[in-house]
Amino acid sequence: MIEILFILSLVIVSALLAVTSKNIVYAVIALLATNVSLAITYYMIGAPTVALFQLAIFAGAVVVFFVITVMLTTSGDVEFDDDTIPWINKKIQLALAIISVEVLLGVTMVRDISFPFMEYASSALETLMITPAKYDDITTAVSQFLWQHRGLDLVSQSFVIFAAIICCIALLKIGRGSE
Amino acid sequence: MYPISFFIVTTGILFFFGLVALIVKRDLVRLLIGIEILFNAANLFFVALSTQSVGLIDPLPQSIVMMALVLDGTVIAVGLALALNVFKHYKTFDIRKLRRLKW
Repeated sequence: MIEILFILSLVIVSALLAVTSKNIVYAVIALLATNVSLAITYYMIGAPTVALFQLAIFAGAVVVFFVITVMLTTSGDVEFDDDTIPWINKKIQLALAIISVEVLLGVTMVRDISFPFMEYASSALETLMITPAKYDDITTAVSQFLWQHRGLDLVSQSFVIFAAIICCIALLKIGRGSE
Repeated sequence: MYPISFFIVTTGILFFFGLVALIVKRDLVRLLIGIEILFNAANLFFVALSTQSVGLIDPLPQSIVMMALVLDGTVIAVGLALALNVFKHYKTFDIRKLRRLKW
């Protein structure tokens, strides 16, 4: 029980750092920490395939995109003179982090709340459920489910990615031609 | 199986951080960071709800979240390409200056 609380508080604190740090390079590194700890959370709660995708895409590719953007634009040096949240300094940042983690810890006291609507929603899907005997079984079952029941979505997803690639190329070409 | 209330609180706080970043910040890259934190909150809640039946795991939310992760990555990539384009044109990331430079 304590390990999931530790990882979730790590997620919260690094997300707070990603939102509030002044230097944008630090913000991107905190975002990387958020994504990696979220991937560990996914692995712990029984979704290893989602953890794999989270590590590959969010902690890998997207963070590299952010770093490349910051490098190409040197926006790490840009400091806005009149910051829109001047009341956020180090102390307030620390206080916000402590309050968020304490709210999370306080929930451990009242975790016996029942959520009947969620029981209903999960019991309606009983036939699709798999038993998590081992993590290998989960990965195999999820991949099988993905190709058998969601094959069309998976194929159409590749068209969306193709459209996004063309969009990126077109945008970057416009930027180069106007110089 | 971990209790759902942990994940409800965590996703609530993450969603709040993402919304604050979207409302308050002026840097285009920071807005995209806020959007990514919003994506993370939604995905975490979805996966956490799928593991709440005792001894069973639902593969449908996991496969949907996998597709959502890939599409979120493309959204961020196109957004960063837009941001690069904006910076090449106007030499700034400040969205309030960009609003004045509309034409």
